[in-house]
Amino acid sequence: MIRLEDVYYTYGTGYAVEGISLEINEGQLVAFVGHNGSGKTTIAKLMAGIIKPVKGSVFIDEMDTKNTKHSNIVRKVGMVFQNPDYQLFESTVLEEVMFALKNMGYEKEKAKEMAIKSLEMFGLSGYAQRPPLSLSGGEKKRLTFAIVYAWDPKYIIFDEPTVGQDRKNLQNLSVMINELIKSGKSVIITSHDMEFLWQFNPLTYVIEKGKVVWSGYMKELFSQTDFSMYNLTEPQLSAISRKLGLKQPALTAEELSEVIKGVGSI
Amino acid sequence: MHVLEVKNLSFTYRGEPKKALDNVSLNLPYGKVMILAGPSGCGKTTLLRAITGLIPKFYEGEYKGEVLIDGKNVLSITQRDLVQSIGYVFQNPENQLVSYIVEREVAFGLENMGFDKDYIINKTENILKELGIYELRNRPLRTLSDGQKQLVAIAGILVMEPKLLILDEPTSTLDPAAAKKVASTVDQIIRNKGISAIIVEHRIDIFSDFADFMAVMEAGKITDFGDIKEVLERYSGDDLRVPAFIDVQKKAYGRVIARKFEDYLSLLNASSKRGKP
Repeated sequence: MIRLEDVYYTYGTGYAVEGISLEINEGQLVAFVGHNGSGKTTIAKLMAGIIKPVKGSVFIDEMDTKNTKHSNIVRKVGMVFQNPDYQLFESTVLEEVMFALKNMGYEKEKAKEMAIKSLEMFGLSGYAQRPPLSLSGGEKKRLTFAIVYAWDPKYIIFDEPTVGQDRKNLQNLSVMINELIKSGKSVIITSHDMEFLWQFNPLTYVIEKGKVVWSGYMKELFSQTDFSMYNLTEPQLSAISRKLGLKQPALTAEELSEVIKGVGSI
Repeated sequence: MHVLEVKNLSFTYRGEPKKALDNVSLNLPYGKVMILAGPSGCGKTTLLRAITGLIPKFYEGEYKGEVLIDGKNVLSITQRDLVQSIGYVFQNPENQLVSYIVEREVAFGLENMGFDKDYIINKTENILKELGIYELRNRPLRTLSDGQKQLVAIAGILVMEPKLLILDEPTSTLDPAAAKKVASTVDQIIRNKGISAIIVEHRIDIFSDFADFMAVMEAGKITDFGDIKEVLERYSGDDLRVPAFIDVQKKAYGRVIARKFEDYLSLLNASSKRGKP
């Protein structure tokens, strides 16, 4: 379990995160949503142990991040950054994936085997010998997914994972997230992409100015009459479901089109 | 007359077996906005590099065909003229921000072009106001969010009023409300100033109401080009992030009945009043 207890963080002026307490359980999919600059990424970095709270505590399986070595934290928590350029530095794609594995003590051959498997999963096998920084923006992003997937942490944090991704990559990402959840991992996503998150109906924390202003499942969020106060863009499938008067909103275009077909054309 | 003409352009990066661009041709009339879409790795960035002359100047490989900007071959235009003709906003604002303070960053290009101080101050103030980031003018760039940085990067390019503006996924780091605002603001500014634009976007819905044309790329080739609404309706592939309501219509009715989301919701409203959802 990841547990935040009355956590505060500041970059110098005012609090970027202010008094947040919450728990994330194993096998849960949790989304942090909110505007640019609301504090979502800061919360993600606190949970990944990259930054430490100035007040309060972050516990990862009862380890307080303030007095735990970062190498022990990364075995449990993997974070995929919004900007892939921040985490790519090796000379080839294959070595990039192997880097973290070798640091965790895997033998070179085993690390290579694990890296190759992960590159296959993300359709990057053909790029194994290319320099990471020569890849396109979308490919670099996929590479960062492959890196974290390879080292298999218990908690995986995706910071704005849909940025710069085409439809196929998003479909692959959806499959990956569902598989991770099924295998008992916790997946934490910070995003402003409600259209993407909607299919999962995740446990959602709405963040404004470093505070949690709403929490619950995403379906509930957009079925509230006053959701517009959070300035979040409603997923189109949610809006169409409401227009159709559906008691349970459809989570996918397939589901919704079947409902529409069932009731005849407009 | 076109601001951009790409004629039978092919390019293969040195050492790569496949063509990154394969006989690409397209024209963009003055004052028009085009979305360039296609899956990751299809050649969009390579095409932008060729349009800006970076290919073949800085990337080695086999180059055939030509790119004309404002009627002139991009390879014969001096660097100074090119900078005034084409404005390029990178996908990642970190790649183009060089100053410490927002205001200085936005003024940087104009200072380099040698304009006088009053002109620069006036232009910089106006563009910051037009983009709604005037209150950020004295902030150090490092204190801004990614979204705010992107707006500053856009301001720094728009302030130079290029003939052709290239935006490489300009709103990918912005939340939808901010993205829509940037899209409509950029649209308003470029229409007022008569600037043409090429926008690379995965989230087509953000700019689909503003753009005139759309080009779809796949494996180095242009597979469709034309009026954006028609291209979106024709599109049957699996690569583009088509808006959810378009997807629903195609799946439910086999065609697109309403091209704007609001229109589709109104249709549903009207039909439910007639007793049919």
